[in-house]
Amino acid sequence: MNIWDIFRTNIPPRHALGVWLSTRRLWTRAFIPDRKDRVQLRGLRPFWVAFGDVTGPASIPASQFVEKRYVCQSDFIWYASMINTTVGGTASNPGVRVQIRDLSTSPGRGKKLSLTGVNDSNFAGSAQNPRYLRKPYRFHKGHTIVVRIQNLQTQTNNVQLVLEGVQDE
Amino acid sequence: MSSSSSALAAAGTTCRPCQGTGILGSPPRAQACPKCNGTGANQMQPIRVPFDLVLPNAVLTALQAGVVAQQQIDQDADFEWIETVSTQTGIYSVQLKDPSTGRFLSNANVNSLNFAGTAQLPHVLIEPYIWPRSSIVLALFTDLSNAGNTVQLVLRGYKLYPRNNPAQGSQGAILQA
Repeated sequence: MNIWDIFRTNIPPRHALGVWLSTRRLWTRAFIPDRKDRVQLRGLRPFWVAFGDVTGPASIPASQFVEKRYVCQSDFIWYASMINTTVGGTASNPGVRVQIRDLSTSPGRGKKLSLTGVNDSNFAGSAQNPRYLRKPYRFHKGHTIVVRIQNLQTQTNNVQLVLEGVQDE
Repeated sequence: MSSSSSALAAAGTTCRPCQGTGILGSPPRAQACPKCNGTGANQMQPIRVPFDLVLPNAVLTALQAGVVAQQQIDQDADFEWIETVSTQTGIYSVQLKDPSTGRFLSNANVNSLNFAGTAQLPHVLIEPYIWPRSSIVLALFTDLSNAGNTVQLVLRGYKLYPRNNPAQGSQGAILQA
């Protein structure tokens, strides 16, 4: 049993990460996976899937887009996302627009996780304030995660999107 | 006390939902008790001692890539990693490796803004990761700031001392509360 799951009384904790969080303590439970959903993460290895270049962010020319792929070697359970851009990145001036697809190995059974691209500030947070998924999403072994990142700025933007999760291998 | 019950007592208390059987329900719908993971006994919580695993400062020149910083975990206890923090003089990217399994923890370098927080706003792992005692934490740093960069990466968490044998190794005894 890991540290987030311990409680010493019969009363379940009010929020899943308890008082250890430095901010958003009281309403954390509303947006991170609950105890039941976190069972599937137990004992697995944390893994960051970074969509960018090998050494860091991808450079996207003005108003262009890039498509990045990652083939899951084993099941990858995604529970948080972070993004950073060198230009824009605020609610009033979004830097990029992101769309994720989960491509199945069976033709025609892939999934789009949004109809169109989502502005970066609506899609992901940062390391300090990540955006957690209320229900972790499992990319099955062999599936390809395809990320389309559209630069909304009129100058080159260096962008990295990171999906954080666990892998069972 | 029978040998089986003494073994249970050594491991912890009897699991109440399954009453020590490790199984809930009856066939064909029987399943392993989720409370005790089918062991029949409640797992004893280890003694947790706060610990910060500080990687040696990585001193990077402009755009230098693949600088290795590594730190061995003490022999006295496993380390439960729950938070990541760092200080740096410029932006960098990093990739962690657990040489005990030979696996990287990311498919590519992760930008520092997406990887580590600060003491005020640390980056929290929802599922903590346990580094085995005596294993090595290896980090590969790349500078992205195009200037000299000194990075201190800290993995924060707890050392896990077994409750039934809290004095481990030569680091001194940990006393039970």
